[in-house]
Amino acid sequence: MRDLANVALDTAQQKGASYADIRFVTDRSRNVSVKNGKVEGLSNDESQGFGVRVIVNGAWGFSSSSLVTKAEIERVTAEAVQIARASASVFRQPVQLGQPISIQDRYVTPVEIDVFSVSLDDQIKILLEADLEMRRVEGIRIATGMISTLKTSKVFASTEGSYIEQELSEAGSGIEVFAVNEDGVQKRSYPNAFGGGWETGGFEYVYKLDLPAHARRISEEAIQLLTAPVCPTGDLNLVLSSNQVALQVHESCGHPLELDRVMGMEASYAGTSFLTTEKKGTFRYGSDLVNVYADATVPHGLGTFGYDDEGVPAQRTPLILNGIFKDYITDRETAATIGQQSNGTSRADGWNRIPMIRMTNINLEPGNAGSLEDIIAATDDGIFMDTNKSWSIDDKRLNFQFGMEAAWEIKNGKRGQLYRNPAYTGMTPAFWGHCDLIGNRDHWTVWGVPNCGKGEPMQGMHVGHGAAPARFHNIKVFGA
Amino acid sequence: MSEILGRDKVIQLLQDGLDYAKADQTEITFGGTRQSLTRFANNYIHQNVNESNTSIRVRSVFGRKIGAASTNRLDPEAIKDTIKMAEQIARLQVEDPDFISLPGPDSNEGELSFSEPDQATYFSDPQLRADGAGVICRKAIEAGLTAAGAFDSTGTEQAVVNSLGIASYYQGTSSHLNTVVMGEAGSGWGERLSRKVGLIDYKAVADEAVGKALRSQSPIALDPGEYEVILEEYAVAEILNYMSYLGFGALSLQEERSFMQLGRQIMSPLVSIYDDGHNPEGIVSPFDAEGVYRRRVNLIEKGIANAVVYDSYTTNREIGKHNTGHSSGIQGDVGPLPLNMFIEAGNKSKEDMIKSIKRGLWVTRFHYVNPLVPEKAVLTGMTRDGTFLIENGEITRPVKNFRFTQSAVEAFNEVVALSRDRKLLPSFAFGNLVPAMHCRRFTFNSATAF
Repeated sequence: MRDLANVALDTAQQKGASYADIRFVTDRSRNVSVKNGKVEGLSNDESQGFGVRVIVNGAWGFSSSSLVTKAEIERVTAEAVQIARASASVFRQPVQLGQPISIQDRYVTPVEIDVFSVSLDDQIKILLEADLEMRRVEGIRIATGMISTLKTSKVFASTEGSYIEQELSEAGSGIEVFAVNEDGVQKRSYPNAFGGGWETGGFEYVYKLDLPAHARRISEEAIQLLTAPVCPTGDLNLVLSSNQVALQVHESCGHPLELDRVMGMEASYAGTSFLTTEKKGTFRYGSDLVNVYADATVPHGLGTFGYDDEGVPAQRTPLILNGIFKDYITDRETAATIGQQSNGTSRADGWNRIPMIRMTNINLEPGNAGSLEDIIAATDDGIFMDTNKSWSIDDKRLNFQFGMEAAWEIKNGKRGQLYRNPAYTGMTPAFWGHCDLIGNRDHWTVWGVPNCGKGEPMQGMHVGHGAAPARFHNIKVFGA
Repeated sequence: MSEILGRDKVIQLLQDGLDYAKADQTEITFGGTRQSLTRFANNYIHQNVNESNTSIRVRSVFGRKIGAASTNRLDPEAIKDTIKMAEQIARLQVEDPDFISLPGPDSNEGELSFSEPDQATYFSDPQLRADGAGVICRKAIEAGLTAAGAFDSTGTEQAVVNSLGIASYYQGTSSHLNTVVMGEAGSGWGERLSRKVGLIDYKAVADEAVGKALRSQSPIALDPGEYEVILEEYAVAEILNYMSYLGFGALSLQEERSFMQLGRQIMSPLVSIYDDGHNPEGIVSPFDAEGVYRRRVNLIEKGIANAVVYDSYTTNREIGKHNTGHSSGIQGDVGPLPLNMFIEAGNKSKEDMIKSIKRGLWVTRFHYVNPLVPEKAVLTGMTRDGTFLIENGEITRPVKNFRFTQSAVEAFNEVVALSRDRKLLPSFAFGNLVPAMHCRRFTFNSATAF
């Protein structure tokens, strides 16, 4: 592979590139899904190819191909150079990447059980057992379950002398039920909605989730939701499950902290950010309890790796400390524009996409409020909402609205009435300013989000968020 | 892959695979893509990319057991390995009582090929895209504004063969340009989609976005609430895409999570929506993910829920239904989808629509839309890039952006006028041709700071 990498790097330099890198990537995945007692999907997918990125006359060009041969690498590299020359015709300032980086290394995701070592038969058995449990509850219309396992092999080489190999491994799994009556459809999920739970590591994660043990509970709750009253409207103390705190961090901390968004580089699609550069170091993002880190080193995080796709080592970076905004997540180009070094968050969704700033594991650090039940016990009057059903936020990441699967009234420290179709809305800094309790490390989970979208062409990314249950006071809640 | 392989080579490659296959039924799908995209921001090109990719997907069937596998390698050994993997997986399956068969050639009618693709689009010149981006950036700079956007051109080869005799092949192209032009306090939008890159009028897009950005500066804050609205084509297309996903497919109807109540008046009599993958006003895609000819389906006829779209699987679950050729190829809860939708044009100019409103809002587009109550098509999202107050028949002032939470079906039931001009805009895969809409009521439940 090193020889093929050199073909690209040499060709690029001969054709006038001041910088070039090449990534060879092979993605392999297995997906098993069941629905209402039958195996709905069983597939094995593989994609391989390479992408060449060059700087010519100070401008970027990128081209990629699924055909990994010496001749195709030469053709694609020449095409990348041609594209860069076209870029230079609509040009502002030459791209700067900061200090050169030269690293030779190999990283492998630590695993206990190889994700591809567990037979499809055994995976089907786990899912059908959970499916049967879900459908034991009368009135369930649809029961689904899935297990996905992935391996990614990457080689990164650059004209600065880096040559890095990585073998990454992931597993994801979850179950969902739907119940229907004349008032609508109700849904419950475990351990999370929209793709279940995800971690880097081995198949041990799927075993740990123990899907069958949670199947009956979510079915019973879905049935109860059908006849539950609609969530009331008001400004209330809101307690959120840790999987929803994770999504709240994702939408209202992770994305606005991306420096490419702040600089307008994603303006036409995902939008920009309210978190403009003069706010760095002084802006109050949230209450004193709010501490947020980007941490690509946390074990099992879905955004955990050895090196990003520019060859920058995985790092742990403070972003918000005691409620004050401290730093962005960056890549080499954006970091250089504010006089910093990249904190290693540049990743691409496969060989055919350019790397861009992506969340790694953006974690809300644990507090000292104990468990979810401790937080509920500490709340005289409020509402607890569990597991996301819908999300939306404006293009500067201020006004957000989340729909949730279920909510319970909190009275005198106890869970009471169940409500259907709960939702809450707010503005980012005000919301985090109202954070007054965060669960402790024993109840802190690094949730995987396998469907973060950004860029054109759209790049899906697997990211993580450490979060514990938390409470926010005076939040606008309503029933949809 | 830097060249078009062509019908003969592709079909032969797939037929060789069928000859090798051992399953009771086998389907092999080929996709070849050449996509080029130029992105610009802050008035310069910051990303400029090209991708050449292929895909082979195999579905193997033993009785009622189905397995699937895919690769992006085209060498015969890789294809054989993928067939073997799909067959191995199928043998591990349990029987699916709802599965009857892959579609046969009797599902098809008409000619499943299309004219030669537009070469200028298929092999897009990066300089042409840079020229388009340059025009927009220069116009923004002249107006003291900042432009960002993307200019894409894509060429595809699609083919599906199966052991029952389906052999469908198609070459297609599309090109898409969008831009947001921003000032200190307000922004404007322009967007075009066409089968040919040469038909993308980037000067018109620049004028539209710059003009709207200039009119959007210094917006006033209005209280959220119920407003009479004109939804520009961009906003209509966004809502329509979600309706297709939530309710226009047979699977959502069979699973009782669709808003479609067949035979009932659910929208304004002014609204007629159909899907037609062969209409040259759209982005033509003559067959679906199973190689079946896409039939025209009248989804909504004068406001009445008339029909939903089917693939082979959902067809077999109901008695007396025809496969309409709308397989999305996506597993899970998606099922068949209409991806080439048309909303019938009205007879009003946008100026006439504005004149008829005493107090209301002009909405250019929506951002980050998601379903809040899917079975009722209740959506939420933000306005973006040009929201204006209409007073006494005139657009008077820009307003700060709102969040809407609104049933799309109810909004389409409130339609009192449609524009005679329509825009072709992206669907989830191809394109939808839509007019602007005048709705009597539309609910905005909160506002943002800009």
